[in-house]
Amino acid sequence: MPEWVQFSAGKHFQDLIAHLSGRSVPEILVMPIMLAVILGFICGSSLILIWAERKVAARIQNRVGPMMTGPRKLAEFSMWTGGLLQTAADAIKLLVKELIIPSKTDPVPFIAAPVLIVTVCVTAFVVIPFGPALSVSDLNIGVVHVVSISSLTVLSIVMAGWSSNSKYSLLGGLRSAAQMLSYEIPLIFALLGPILLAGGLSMQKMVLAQREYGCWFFLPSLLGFLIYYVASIAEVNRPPFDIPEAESELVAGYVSEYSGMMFAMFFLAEFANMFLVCSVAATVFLGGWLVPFMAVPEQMTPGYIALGTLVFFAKTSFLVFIMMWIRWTFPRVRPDHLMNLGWKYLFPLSLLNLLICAGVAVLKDVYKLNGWGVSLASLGALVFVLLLLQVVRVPRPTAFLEKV
Amino acid sequence: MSEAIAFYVLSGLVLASAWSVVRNENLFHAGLSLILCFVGVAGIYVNLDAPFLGAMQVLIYAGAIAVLLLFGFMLTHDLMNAKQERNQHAAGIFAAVLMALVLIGTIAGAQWYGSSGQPVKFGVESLARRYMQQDLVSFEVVALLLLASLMGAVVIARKEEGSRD
Repeated sequence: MPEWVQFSAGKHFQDLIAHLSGRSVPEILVMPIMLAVILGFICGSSLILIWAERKVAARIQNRVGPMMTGPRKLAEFSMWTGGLLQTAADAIKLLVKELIIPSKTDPVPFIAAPVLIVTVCVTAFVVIPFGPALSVSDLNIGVVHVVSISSLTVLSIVMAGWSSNSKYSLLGGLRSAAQMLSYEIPLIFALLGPILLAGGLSMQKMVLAQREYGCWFFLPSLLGFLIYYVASIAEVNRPPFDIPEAESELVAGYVSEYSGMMFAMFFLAEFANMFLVCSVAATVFLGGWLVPFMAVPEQMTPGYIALGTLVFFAKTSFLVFIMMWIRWTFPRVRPDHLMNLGWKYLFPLSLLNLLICAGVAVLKDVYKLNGWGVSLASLGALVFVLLLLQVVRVPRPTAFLEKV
Repeated sequence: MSEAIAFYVLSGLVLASAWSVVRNENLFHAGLSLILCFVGVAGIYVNLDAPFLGAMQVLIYAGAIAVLLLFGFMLTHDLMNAKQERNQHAAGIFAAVLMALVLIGTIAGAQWYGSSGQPVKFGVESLARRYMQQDLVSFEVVALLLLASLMGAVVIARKEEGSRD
């Protein structure tokens, strides 16, 4: 097993500085610097993602989207190269706007909420492997770290909703708390399948396990991948699950009373969270930085690191694009449908996925199956169970209540 | 050295936020302090080389239970003006002293085992062995208890037959 992929980005940074200046960076400074790098990264990626979202929306609605801000020559070339500086201009506008704190708000939670949501996001990015040997810190509780830290996002939304002292914000906060708590459960259960297959929680181990199996985990855990994807759209409050900030009924939900930079921080966190859930999906289900049809070298090679990072970003961008596509083509779901989908369909199906993954992991150990065997066995089991559910009448789970 | 500093900072955070939970007149602020307290405890777990326990503390207590608590506050009528009742001083002091006596008695009487070895490195496999082999019976008992309470909650919360609103 190539050990070098578990090096941390902090170590690369220390080596680089030592190489350039001959001085060593004190250990205590490495983590703050790395966190600042992540913050810069999510700011930059959000600028690009917001631009991309507007362009995708424009293409789907037969428009051209923002075209005026940016190099004129590029805009004349095609719609996909126009308006490149639009979000940068928007960000500058939001930065210089006055920060309005309405007089009837509860100031401490009101200001703390946007700070918390960005902090949570930056902290969650710590374990994401952007490439071989390119995660800030490859904690051995990796996946659990992302899930548990992201669960604090709902706290920030509840704080914003309540402290705004406005009916729209409060309703948005309430809906969001209900939605995010419900969808966290299928999300975590969907991740348990790949965790079982990999036998570890660390993100880099997850990638290496997929190399060992010879197949990406979305094949043996197809159901898990789909459930994770749907639940993560609900977790980041994006359409069609955007009822916490439904514009047509709640103004802007929990962000109604925010303005200027504090509004921008919520916006930033929304796009950074979208990137986060997609990069987790790419790592856990789509092989992370594994380059298809190419062996991982035993020694560290800069070429493979660059290629792997490129592949990781390609996979993540693809998933992000699908999320945008879904956003602009599906209508918003009703709150009761949302709860039904989460509790009555996704949650039982995620248990089924866990069962199939457990069976497949045992089969692999007993019969020494390779990746294709494992995938076929799991897909076969899935089809069998789904067909069985069509034939056998399953009593409703609440049937026992009728006799109480 | 840095671990000691982290311990004292986190302990201060936990104690201060716990004090705020009890003394804060504003229920919502008390709830937020409770979450801060949970996160501080999670930090102490991480400091003690138990990162999994810390992550679970954040996930379950701060991320789920405390948020449900806040959810309940938000559904409560006219919370902005709600103030905590302050007429239970005697009972509160009695309970606190009793609790302190029990804790001091237990801690003073306990046998403490120290070890100079490195802490066990966390792995899913050791966790699984613990739950599925060593402590299987207690694990199942806890699961059964939770299932029973879940069913009880459903029975209490469900609507009466024919009372659709």
